Amino acid sequence: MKNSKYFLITALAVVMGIALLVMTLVRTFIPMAVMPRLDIPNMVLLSVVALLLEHYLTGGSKGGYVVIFLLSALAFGLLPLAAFFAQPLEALKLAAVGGCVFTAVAWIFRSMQERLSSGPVARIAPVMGALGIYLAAQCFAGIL
Amino acid sequence: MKKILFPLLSVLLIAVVLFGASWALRSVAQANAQKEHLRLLQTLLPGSESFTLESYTGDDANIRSVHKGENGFVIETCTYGYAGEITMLIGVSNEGKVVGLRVLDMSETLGLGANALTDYEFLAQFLNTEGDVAIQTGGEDAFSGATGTAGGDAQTYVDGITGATVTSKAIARSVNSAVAYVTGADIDSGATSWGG
Repeated sequence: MKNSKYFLITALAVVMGIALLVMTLVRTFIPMAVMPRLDIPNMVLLSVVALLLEHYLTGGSKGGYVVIFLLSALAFGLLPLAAFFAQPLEALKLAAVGGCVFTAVAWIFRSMQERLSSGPVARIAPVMGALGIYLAAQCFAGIL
Repeated sequence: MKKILFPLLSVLLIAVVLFGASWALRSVAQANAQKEHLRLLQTLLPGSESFTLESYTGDDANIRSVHKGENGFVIETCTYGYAGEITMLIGVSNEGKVVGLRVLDMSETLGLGANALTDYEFLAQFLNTEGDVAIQTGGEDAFSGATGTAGGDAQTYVDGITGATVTSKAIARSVNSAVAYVTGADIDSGATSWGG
């Protein structure tokens, strides 16, 4: 997996697939449970989990933000639509917002890792960075 | 191009798996949802066994739908909290008293507003109120359950959730709107406006 430049998208698809599958099962068997919405903080959460997977499994990658935007937009639009969690129009909106959010988070996360990539701190830095990004996303959503 | 093919195929493959799983479980999900919804309505309005969905044509934008039971109503409301819509079901007796309430859907901040889902001490304060609820914030002298007047309208004060005043007020607005529907109170009166 060392040279797979777009492993990040596969990681995002797997993370989203697992999350949506769990939500499908909850919707089926515990229908009155309160489900998390695919809003900005939760998009960021999915994004940072995918980025952490990429970081620890492949060591991370650089660049390719146009392809990352297009494929992450496809994932954020198509997967909720396929699982009946979004109508077609809503899926388009999710695709646009999701693509922007994922690309921005990927850029921020990678920039942070480049600056924290030496010494013993490098092992835990990605997790702490991801946590910081998620908390910042919650504040950002509140401001919006 | 080859580098893009694998991630593209992985997205498509996972979409197919999700579609298949959701399609296969669709009928079970619908049956369970109907059964669970009826059970929830019966819990929120004790004493009623069956409910009819009534169309709502009033002016209160907080009310989404109305389920009429034998001894009252269960009203679905939707108000804006801190991070989006909060959907609730509120049971109100024919006498205009709140007999049950539950948050159905919300996306409030974890650890703060989202506590409204499970903070039963907070939610229980709304029981037996009559559409005159206002949230007690730290700077006021009134205490939980106290009554007073604000702008000429009688108020029952309840303690808000710490760090989640906006969420607490949104829930109070929902409760006041639901009771106002049953009692026929003016939705622009202090009963609903002061709750928020």
